[in-house]
Amino acid sequence: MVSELVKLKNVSYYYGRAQALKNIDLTVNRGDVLGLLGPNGAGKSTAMRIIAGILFATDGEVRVNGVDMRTAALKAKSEIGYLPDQPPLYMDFTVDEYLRFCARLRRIDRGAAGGVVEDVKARCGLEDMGRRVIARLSKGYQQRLGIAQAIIHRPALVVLDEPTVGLDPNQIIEIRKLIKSLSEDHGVLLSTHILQEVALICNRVNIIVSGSIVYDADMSEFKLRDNQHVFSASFDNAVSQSSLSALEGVKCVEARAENTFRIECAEFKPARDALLRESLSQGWGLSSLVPEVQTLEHVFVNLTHSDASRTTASKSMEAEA
Amino acid sequence: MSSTLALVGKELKAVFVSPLAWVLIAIVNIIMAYIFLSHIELYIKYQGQLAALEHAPDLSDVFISDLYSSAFALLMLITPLLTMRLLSEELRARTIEILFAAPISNAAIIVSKFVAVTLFAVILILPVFAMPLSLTIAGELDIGVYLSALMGVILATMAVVAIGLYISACTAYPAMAATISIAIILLLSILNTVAEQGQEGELTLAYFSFSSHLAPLLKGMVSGSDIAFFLVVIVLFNVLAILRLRRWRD
Repeated sequence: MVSELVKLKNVSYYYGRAQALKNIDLTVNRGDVLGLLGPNGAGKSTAMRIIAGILFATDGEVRVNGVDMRTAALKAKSEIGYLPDQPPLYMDFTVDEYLRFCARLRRIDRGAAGGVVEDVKARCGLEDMGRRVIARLSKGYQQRLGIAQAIIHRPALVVLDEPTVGLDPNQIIEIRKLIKSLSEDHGVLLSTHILQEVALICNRVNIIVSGSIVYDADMSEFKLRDNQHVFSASFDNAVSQSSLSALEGVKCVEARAENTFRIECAEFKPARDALLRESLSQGWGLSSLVPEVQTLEHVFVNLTHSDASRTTASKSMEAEA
Repeated sequence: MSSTLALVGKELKAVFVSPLAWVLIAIVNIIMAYIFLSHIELYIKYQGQLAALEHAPDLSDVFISDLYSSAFALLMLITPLLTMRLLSEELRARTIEILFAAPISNAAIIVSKFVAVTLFAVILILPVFAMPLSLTIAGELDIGVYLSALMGVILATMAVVAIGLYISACTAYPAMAATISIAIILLLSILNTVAEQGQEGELTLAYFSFSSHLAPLLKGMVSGSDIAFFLVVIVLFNVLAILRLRRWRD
């Protein structure tokens, strides 16, 4: 059994002349709930469509459970369930009719289809909706139905493109719960631009900016950094870096701005107490003491902001030229 | 295979849940019944004079050719209304993604849609096929001519469906697909009227006219080249539609 559910190697994709994906490498391992983050137009949906077998990569290799998407597309696609950003629903059909069609489309034979439909309805909270016409369902139920069609054939990987967009807060909570429960049986790849969603659901995150994957990390890294005991301290009066370094428990001090320092300590409490004591006795006038943690938001803003400024800069240069 | 059959079933269901299908069935059959009855009336009126002719036309000559060429003329106008949504609506609503994501080939998607609309078109004119048969109560019908005409209408309808399907794969706007399909089909059916005036180049053009290949079949003259013409059109436009679908994905 291959441990990588999906492996994209050097994948590029062009819409006409515009390059939407630039030699990206992406891996989803068994048991992963991978969040694909990125600003609008970064290439998230294109990457997901390539993984789902809807678009064919211009260059590079896409393997699903070890099967090459280009040479054995039908086999590779049977391992994947896909929910586009707009659920692909036939509005005139009832929920049962639609799911039965999806089951047959996924090569589940007629005899088994009825049971599979009942099962997937139960998993997605659609038990009482079977005879309802899809056009009359709320957006939240339509989204559940979209997820139901994606998991009806029990795929190894479920690919969800912005699954909570356009839902109200209660519906968002329900869909997140549903996605979380999916991760017990399937690998999940989901795209979003809601950072909190990734923190709540995912165990890994990739950030994609302008068609390139610029960040790949385990979510546990963010928790580790919480415990690193780094904080930033500002003072009203002048303080020397060496006097801060001499404090009990302080490992390293770095000057940030005037009278502002980044302090790294072995343990937070003794260092904090020593700093407060010295500040009082030496009259440093401690004005703020803020724990410094690396959050997903910091990473995202840094990566996407610098990209946005690069784009603006290059545009203004072009304009000047 | 099961997924292809599921797609055929889904397409047929999609056609029958729309009121358009039922309105079309009603309109086609009312118009065809009117044409059929007016032919009967004319036949009764001139029966005596016809009987006096040396090579008197029989029931088959009077009824089948005319009735079925009218049926095909109606189908030419109606079929684009059935084919316009086949792919353009799926592309527009992006429901096509459920088909693209499923383990089913582009060819199977196209062929299943083609089969479904052809089946519907046949269901649409099924009563028309029965109309001449009702004459066997009173007279004799040349079954050979009847079957040849039946085959001609079905083949020509399949060709029209294939053209409509291809056009539907080219645009995400159903109304645009219908308009272009009607224009192409009308053009193909009138090419021979220009050529009837008789220059050589025009005769070549006439070869591509539906009417010049359908007319002999409606008269019971079965020829391999006419059948081959329709088969080539059917296969050609199905293949073009498959290639078009592939372009959406590259």
